[in-house]
Order: sequence, then structure tokens, then C-alpha cells
Amino acid sequence: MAFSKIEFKGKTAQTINYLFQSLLVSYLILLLIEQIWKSSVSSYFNLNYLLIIVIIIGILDVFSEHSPVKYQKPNWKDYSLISILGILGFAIIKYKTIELGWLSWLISIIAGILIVLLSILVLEEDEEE
Amino acid sequence: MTLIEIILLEASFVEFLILILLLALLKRKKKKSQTSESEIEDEKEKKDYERVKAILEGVQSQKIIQEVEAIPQIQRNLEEIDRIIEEKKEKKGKGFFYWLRRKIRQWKINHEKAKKERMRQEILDQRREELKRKRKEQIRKRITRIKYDERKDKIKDKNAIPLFVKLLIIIIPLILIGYVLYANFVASHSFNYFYDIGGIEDAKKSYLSPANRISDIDTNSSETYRNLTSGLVYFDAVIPRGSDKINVEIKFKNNLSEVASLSIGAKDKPEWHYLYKSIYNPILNKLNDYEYSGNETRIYRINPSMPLIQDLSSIPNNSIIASNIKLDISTNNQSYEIKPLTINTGLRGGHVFYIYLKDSLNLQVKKQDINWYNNSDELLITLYDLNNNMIANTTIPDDGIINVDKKIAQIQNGQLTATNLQPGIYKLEFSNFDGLIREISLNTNKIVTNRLFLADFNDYIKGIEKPSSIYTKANKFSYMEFLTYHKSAFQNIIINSNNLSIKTTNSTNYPIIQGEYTIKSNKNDIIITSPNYLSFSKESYFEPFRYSITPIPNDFNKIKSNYDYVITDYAIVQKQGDWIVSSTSFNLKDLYIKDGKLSMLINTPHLGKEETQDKTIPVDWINITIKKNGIFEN
Repeated sequence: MAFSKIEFKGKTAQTINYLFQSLLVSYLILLLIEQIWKSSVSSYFNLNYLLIIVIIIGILDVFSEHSPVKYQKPNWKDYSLISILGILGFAIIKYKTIELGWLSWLISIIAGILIVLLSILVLEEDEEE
Repeated sequence: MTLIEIILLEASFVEFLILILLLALLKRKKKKSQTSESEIEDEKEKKDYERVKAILEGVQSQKIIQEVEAIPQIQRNLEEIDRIIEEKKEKKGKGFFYWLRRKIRQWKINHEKAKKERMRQEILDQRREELKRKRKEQIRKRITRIKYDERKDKIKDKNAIPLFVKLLIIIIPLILIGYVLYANFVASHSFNYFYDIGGIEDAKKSYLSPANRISDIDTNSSETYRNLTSGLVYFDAVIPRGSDKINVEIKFKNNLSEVASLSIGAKDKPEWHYLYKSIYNPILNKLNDYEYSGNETRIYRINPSMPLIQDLSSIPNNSIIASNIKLDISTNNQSYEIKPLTINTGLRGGHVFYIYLKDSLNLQVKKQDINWYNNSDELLITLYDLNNNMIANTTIPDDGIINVDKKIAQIQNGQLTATNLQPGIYKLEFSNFDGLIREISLNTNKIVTNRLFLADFNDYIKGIEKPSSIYTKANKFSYMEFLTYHKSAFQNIIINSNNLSIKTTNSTNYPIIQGEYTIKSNKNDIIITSPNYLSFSKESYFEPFRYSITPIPNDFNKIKSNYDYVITDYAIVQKQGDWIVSSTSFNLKDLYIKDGKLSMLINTPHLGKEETQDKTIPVDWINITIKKNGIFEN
């Protein structure tokens, strides 16, 4: 297939990969801000344009060479980050579902625990591999 | 010596010899066991022993043989044995000392060997320690080396992105997030949303709802529009975070009658509650003929003898003002001596009084339902300050009869108390209800109002009818309005010494010039409305404000004849052929915004009445402008 012959290598591949990660994280952060505070982002620029750019860069990244990732054992920093993300997820969901009363506590706690457990699972899955 | 004695002697001698032999044998065995216990099992020792034996075979002296054999195996070596043999040969006869010397020599040899062994062990231990240290050092160097190599690899990575490219890539999200923060918190913005009613977007999903209150899309030459077919049609406005003001402009066709009006409502509470502003009022449209000052809030001069004023602080004393917006009212800074007052004039429904208080309010109210209509009849009594902040309130509940029942109901009592008040003017509000206020007792005798509904009327409650007397004072020419809803209340009202005949259920206007007036009614069931203040006695009368403010009446003739100024934020409509463009503004801080959206509605009351139901209102577009002030403008 013609597509299989296309492959970016070397610095170009690294640049595309880095750019994709950067833009994707930016898009997700802006989307999260838009979800929490409605119209705080969409009033000033259209997130769909950024999404299109992310998709294009992502497609290019698929056709880029990726250097092998050196495995690093999870340490206390990884677990701390997971805990912080779990708490953040709990807080955001609690804020968005506050009108549900006691049910919002239940949903938020379950969501926070889910975030933590899934993150640990993914982290330790890499270890076993 | 007898034979037995000889035998015994010989026996003892034999025993003695046997004993010596045994001792000698034991000695040999002990030495042999010592030899075996000294753990010498190696072949070299055995071989030496065999060789020694071979040497000994040539030695005839038993003594030498014994001595040699007595030497522990470990110390046996050929040189020593030879030396011993030579010594033995040379020093024959000196056995004990030679044995002793030999023993000493042996001990020395042993000692030397042990010492050598200890030294050897020490050397071995030192070497072991040395090896351990070296090993650790090697491992440490190896780790350092690995880390250094890794760093080196990174640096020397041929595929690494240059640092400036990385920085450039990182700057992109920083710029995006920074821009969002800047736009939200620092910069000022103006957002515009144009709803083309009947356009392509509206055809996909209508801006207006519900569907049963609007028509399908109509087309008329260049315009596409929908008709409002019922009152209360809703639409949403997207409100960016931090916005301050919203301006709504609407283009519609004037199908309204002379008395109909159109207003825009914006939701201001979580429950169903809207703040309304007029966008079409045929009465207010006539203000176009009058001079005014101001832009968003206009002060129209109705009375040509009054000066044209630029702001509210310049309003002349004793002016009569009609307004549809909340104004900061300037009070007459006077203090009064007050005393308790009981008002036993019956009043019907809702009333608003202005009262003067020193430091507290102590109010008792007697309420009696008349139950002419279904539903419960609670009376809510509220005390406000002049900024419309609620200070205290109370509710007198329904009498328990919620259906129509014209039997005489029981009188209910209620009380309202407020303490720690500053001396000044307060607003006392009684809500509208299907009943009568039979009596009001309060700790101040300064109480006035602009509207009274006298209700000591037998049709309400048999036997309560009695004459009522009201006092008022006019500072200038104006009209008082009298209105009754019942033909049975047709009567003659006595105003000072003049008779006013009330023979209609439409309102009757009575002109009054500057002066004091007493209004007497024997039948009651009459609503008295005046731009001047009404009180229950001359003693109760006072003028709470420098000027009088009342709502804008629906009759422009009343405005012309009674009022000096009209203050309104109503923007005079602009005409575009058959169409009208009108606008109004709201302060977003007073409104209720949920999930970035504001619920708004178009109120067309005339479409709720049967006789004007067919007067549908075509709407072409709605233009919404939202202003957000920046941090430096706040």
C-alpha cells in the first residue's frame, strides 16, 4: 500500500510527535475549561478548528517513526500524580452534578476511585509487560 | 621365704613389668590419638610417616625408634628425623635433657607455625577486605558510567529535537491558554448574536419556542419571519462568562392596537420569574414629542413650566414623576414626633404605604377573607427600606376556605415586628389577596400612600359599612382618580364641600389645585389614586420624598395632566416601512444565568385575550449584543 511507504523519520518524526502531544493536551485542557465554565472558551475561539489541527497532526504522527520507550519503574511521583488527578476528577464531577444532591457525592466518589484504579492498572500493566 | 612368698614376689614383679608395658603402650596410644586428633590426614603426612618407618628400619636403637615415633606426625619431616637421629647418636646418654630440648624445640616450631598461620589468615582477611572495597568501587564506577552514558546518549542522540523547536511547540499551548485567560479576565469584549427568524438556521432549529406559540416560516418579499401567535414566546441568549450588559434589539411588525404593548422579559431568579422591559408602548411612543435629556435613561419634560433636568439629583422639589425604572429616591430629611395609630378603615387587597419610623416597627393587622374567588388567600406583609431591601416580613394564612364561599369569615390576627432601625422612611407592603384588611395598628402615626381601596362596604361583609375620611394635599394642579367596579357602589363622594358623583364603573378624574383636601365616602368600595400622598388624617400626613414617583399610567392624558416628568429607559421605536425596530437593555448582574445561557421571552399580553387573539406579531430578527467590560473598565 502506498501509505505504508510513507514514514517520517528522525527529527521530523520527533517534532511531529512532540507537536501532537502538545496540541492534544492543550485541546483537552481547553475542552475541560469549556465544560466547567460554559462559554469561557467558545466565546473567543472555535475549539473545532483546534480539533481539526490535532487530528491532522495525529494522522501524521501515525506515519512517523517512534523510538522505543525505555521502561521506568513507577515511583512515588507517579502515584502522587494519580492521587491528585483522582481528587481533581472528583471535584470537577461534584461541581457539575451538585444539583443532584446526595447522588452527586456518590457519583463523584465512584468517579474519583475509578480514575485512580484505572491509572494504577495501566501503570502496572506496563510493568508486567 | 616360702614358696608362696616367692610366687607372690614374682607375681608382683610380673605385674610391675606388665604395668610398665601397659603405661608405655598407653602413652603410645595417647600420642597416636593426639596425632589423629590433630587432624593431619593428608597424604603427605602419611607418606612421611611411611618414609620414617623405612628409615627406622635401618636404626637399631629402640630408644631412637621410640623417640622418633613419639614425634607428632605433623612435625615429622626427614630433615628433622635425620637431625634427631644424629643428635641421638652424638649425645648418647643424655636422654632426658635431650628430650626436653627436643620438646622445647617442638614447641617453638609449633608456635612459629601457628604464628605463620595467623599472619597468613590476616593477610587473607586483608586481601578479602581489599577485594570487597575494590568490588564496591567498581560497581559504583559502573553505575556512574551507565548514567554518564545515558546522558551522553541523549546528548549525542542524532534524532533529538533542537531546543528552540521544543520551546516553540510549548509556546503554542501557552499562548492559547493565556489568550483564554486574558479574554476572560482582562480584555473587554462585545459579542453579537443575530437571530434571523425564518432564516436557514432558524429553519433547521427555531430560535423561538414553544412551537405551538409561533407560526411556520412566512416569506414576504425580502423578509422571512415567523408570527407570534400567543403571549410568552421564549428564546435563549448565550452569555459569555463575566459579561455585564445585554442589549436586545427586535424587528417586528406593528399589528398592535393603540393600547397593546410588547415587552421583553429576562429571567432573574431560579424559579419562573422574569424582569420585564417594555419595547413597544404606544403611550410611551408619544413621548417622542417631548423634550428629554439622557441616553439610556431619559428624563422627559412633560410640564413645560418645569425646567429640563440633566440628572436625577436636579429634580425640583414637589415634582410629580412617572417612571418604570427603579430610581434612587431622595427623601425629605425631616424627623417627626410619632405616636401609635390605629386605622380601622377597611381596605381591600394589596396596598403600599410609606411610613416614618424612629427605631422599630410594631404592627398588628386584622384580616378577614371574603372568599369571592377560589384558591387560598394568604396576606404577606413586608417591610422594605428605600433600597428595596427586605427588613422583615410575616404571613397571615388563609382562613381555611379555598373555594368560593360568601359567608362571613372569621377575623385573623397577624403581627410584624422589626427592631434596630435607623430613623427614616420605610415601605410597608401588603400583598394582594381576596379579602379585607379590617384594622391596622402601628407604633407610628406617619403613614401615607398613593392609592387606597376603601372597602367598608356591605356587599363584602354585611354590616361593616361606615363612612371613611381621607386627607390629601396638593402642591400643584393635578388630578385624582376615582374608580369603582360595582354598580351598587355608585355614590356621591364629598371632596371638601364639593360633590363628585360616581355613576360609572370607568374611572372618574377630579382636578385639584394647590391646597388641602378631605375626601369623604359613605359607601366606600372605591379606589382613589393620586399623584399626591393620601393619608387617613391630617395628623398622619407627611411627604416622605422631595418628589413623588408613581408608575407610568396607561393613559397618556393622565401623564399630560398629572405629571411633570417621565423617567424611563424605554427607547422610542424606529420605523422601517411597515416594520418597527425597538431595543432594550438589561444589567446581567441582576439576572439568572445557567450554564452560560439566559432565558428570555417576548410578552404580548393582547394575544392572551380572545378579542385580540388574531393580532399576531410577525418577528423578522432579534439582534443580541453583549458587553463585557475589561478589568480596567470595572
